[in-house]
Amino acid sequence: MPNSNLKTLIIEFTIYGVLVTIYALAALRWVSQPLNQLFNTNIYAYAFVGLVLIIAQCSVLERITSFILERFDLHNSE
Amino acid sequence: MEFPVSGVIINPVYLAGIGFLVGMLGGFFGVGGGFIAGPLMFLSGVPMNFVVGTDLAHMTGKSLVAARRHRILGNVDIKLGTLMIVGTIIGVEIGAQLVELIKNMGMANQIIGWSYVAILLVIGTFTAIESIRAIKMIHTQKIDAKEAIGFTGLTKRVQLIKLKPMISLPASGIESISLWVILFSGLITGILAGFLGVGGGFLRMPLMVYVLGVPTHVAIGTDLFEIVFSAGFGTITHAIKGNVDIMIALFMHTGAAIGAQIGAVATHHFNGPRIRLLFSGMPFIGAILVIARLLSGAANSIH
Repeated sequence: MPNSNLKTLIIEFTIYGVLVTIYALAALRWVSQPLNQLFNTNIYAYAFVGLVLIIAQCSVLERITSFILERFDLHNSE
Repeated sequence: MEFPVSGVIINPVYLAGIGFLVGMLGGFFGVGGGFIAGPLMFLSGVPMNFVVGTDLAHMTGKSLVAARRHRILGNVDIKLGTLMIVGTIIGVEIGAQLVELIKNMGMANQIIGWSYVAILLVIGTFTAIESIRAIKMIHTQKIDAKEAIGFTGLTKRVQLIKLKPMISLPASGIESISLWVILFSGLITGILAGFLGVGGGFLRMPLMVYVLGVPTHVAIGTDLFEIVFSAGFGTITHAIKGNVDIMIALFMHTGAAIGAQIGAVATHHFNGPRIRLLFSGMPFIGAILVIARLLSGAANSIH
């Protein structure tokens, strides 16, 4: 990987880090309490919601990370 | 930050860091990475029952990302993966029954733990010897890296089995193979996974390469495809038993998302034998971690 690409990668990772931190502080902290309540009241709903949440987050973050990697042409360097 | 479901306080950056590490390993080697993520979560104070369930939840998300990436790269044989899932599910149940049988005999943790170590050491040693032979073959016989397998005897014998129905696996470059061989392979890895209480990626990947004759890159992608379903099923069953802290899994996945993508892309910068040589180190790391836990008397946490 050329140095310019490495520099871009570091910049993109920093942007990703900031985005994820905002997401963690805003979204994840917000769902923490409702999830805990669900865990204590309806374990089946908790299991279902948990799987949905992980798949939803996975899909969103995949799009972001794909965008980041394509930005500095890593996918095409195969 | 406090995680009320499991009752622990952990720095979310540490969780994202674990996710990034196992995400990279998963994307590159096609393994779930539970044998590394588990001890790291345990070290941070997560109770062992939550370690197992939460790691499965995180593995579902991470494997989905890596499997989709591998699918785009043409590395997933869906037909093979689907057929192997059938054998694996049956095998996991048989493995779990074997555990119950051994539990009744006593010393279950020691027997399972040392069996795990033995299997890891055999896989690690075998893969290391084979990949070194394959790398030498590339240089001495000038053959294509994709075709370089240092040990082909078993693959040839397996492909000679003509037990009907015979199927073809174009995505893996296999013209004809008995359906029973694939189901049996899934069954064996399932039994071992159920017996050892692990996802089994480190068993399936070498088995697909050396027994079925699947190219390394396709074996990695297909293994990840299978992990999505097995870990997803495991997440539901463990969550119902109260063993999943989904918040921990979500934080871990923020790191794993980027790690898995980088790992998957990195496979295209290494040929099959080199990936297998690097992979051979994974079972040794796993064996060391299990031995450390066995000797420290924490054998209960293995299963």
